[in-house]
Amino acid sequence: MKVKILLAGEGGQGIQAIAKILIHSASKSGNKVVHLPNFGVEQRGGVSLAFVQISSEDISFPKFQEADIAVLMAHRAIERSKMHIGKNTKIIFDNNIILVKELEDFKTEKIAIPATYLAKERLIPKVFNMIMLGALVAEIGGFKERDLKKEITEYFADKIKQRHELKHFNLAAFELGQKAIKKTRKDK
Amino acid sequence: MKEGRIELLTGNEIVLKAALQAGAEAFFGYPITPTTEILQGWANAAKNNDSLIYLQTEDEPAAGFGVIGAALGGKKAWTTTAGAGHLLMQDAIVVAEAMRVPFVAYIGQRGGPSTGTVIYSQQELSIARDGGNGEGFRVVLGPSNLQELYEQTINAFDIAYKYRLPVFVLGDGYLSKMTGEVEFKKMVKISPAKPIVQNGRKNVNIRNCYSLEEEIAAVIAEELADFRTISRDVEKSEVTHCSDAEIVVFAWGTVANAAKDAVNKLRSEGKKVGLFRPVTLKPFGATRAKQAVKNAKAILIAESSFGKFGRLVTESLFGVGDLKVERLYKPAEGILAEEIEEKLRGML
Repeated sequence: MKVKILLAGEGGQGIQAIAKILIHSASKSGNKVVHLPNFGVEQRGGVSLAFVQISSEDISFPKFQEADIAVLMAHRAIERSKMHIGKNTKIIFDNNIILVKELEDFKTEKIAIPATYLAKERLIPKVFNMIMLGALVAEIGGFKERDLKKEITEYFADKIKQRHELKHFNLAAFELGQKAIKKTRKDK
Repeated sequence: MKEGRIELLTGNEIVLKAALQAGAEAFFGYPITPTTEILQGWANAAKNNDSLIYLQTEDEPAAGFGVIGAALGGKKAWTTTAGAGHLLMQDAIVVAEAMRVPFVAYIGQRGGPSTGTVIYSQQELSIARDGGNGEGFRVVLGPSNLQELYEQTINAFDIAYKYRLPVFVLGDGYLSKMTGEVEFKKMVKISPAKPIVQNGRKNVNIRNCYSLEEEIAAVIAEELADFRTISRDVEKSEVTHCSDAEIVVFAWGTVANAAKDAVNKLRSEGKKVGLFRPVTLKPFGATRAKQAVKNAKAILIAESSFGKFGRLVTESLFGVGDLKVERLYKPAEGILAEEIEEKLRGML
């Protein structure tokens, strides 16, 4: 496996959570991983980026020029991600937040996931990031669903302790994301 | 920590674990991004361990003097800071220099000037090397990846307590905040902390104030001679593919890692390029740097600052003769392997 992923959204959306769950799972299955968060001074409300690299070989530098996959989750994130989107970059985006028109400058493959809608209608709004994780993982391939579910449960362990149903919501969101991307692909 | 165990951690977590492994006993600090998690981590560790001393001070100068006080009393003490906090701490660092007190600090460089950004830079090189009104008798280590960050943090404690002087681990926001693998090593013996001002019933008076010019000049001369000896022991540089290199890249810290990628890629195409990377930024391996450019026609200096490192390099290479100097200066911004590669291709 060798993949460079850029995750981009608003601070507070759970961008870094996606990155952390992803690298921990990939690392446990024997890959080299690096995650570099990038954000401004704000705790919330600024653009939040995560550079993630997963590879069977050593990774020397935490940042990269062109992503293989860019996951876009906010309007403002598009501008900040531009320089990392090349002609071979696949874009996965939440089409309840970003309009296809906003991405028309990028002549590259774009995959729409209605994550905000699905989370709000079927689960709870907050877990839309796990829907995006599910979609991303299905797109990369090579991950074991069981490993990722374990990682998600561990990552949110403290929150789940306070509110048990969060386990179900996050795991269901992850499954929903995987299904959503398969559906998008089939519809094309 | 088990030997050989590989863990997935952030740079800040690694620095904390390394300090604990090196036997650190006291931490004084003031929170500043991107190093705050180290202070938080130490505070949590101290909560469950009575032998660990923790104090969040009112500012960085106080944190620095806290470290000095604890070290004078025989505790292995340290701190972390960044950016403007690093600058403020320099007064305490020169006191440590003047009184020959062991002092360990991890610095997570952030963008300047002033508050700048919380993200990344290599702009704190000059203040780490020479900040304050002393002669800069301190050791500055420049880790380029997480494994080195771990090893150099442990090494910093050894150097500081062996030679009694300030030692900086000069990291950056990328190193602090990134997550990656680190392999824990078997603990080597580290120089212990000893009480400095009180030795049994004997009180030791250490001066940092003198009446006469000649008096302080003599002390500085002695310190300088000592520092030169220490420098020979600790100086370290990494020289890659330089023996036949026509172009030698000069880079340090995380940028050197990007540079290594670029150099290796061009080498695989048979291009004669090499890399000189100082592991110790102070002392700087000027003699080895001169050897590294023996067959070079040009050098490329790459740094995330506007010439702080470049000036050090060109000063060190003074007298080397006909050497074209190209620069890739990106203050407060990361430099990718691709950018260095492109620049090198333009020079070839």
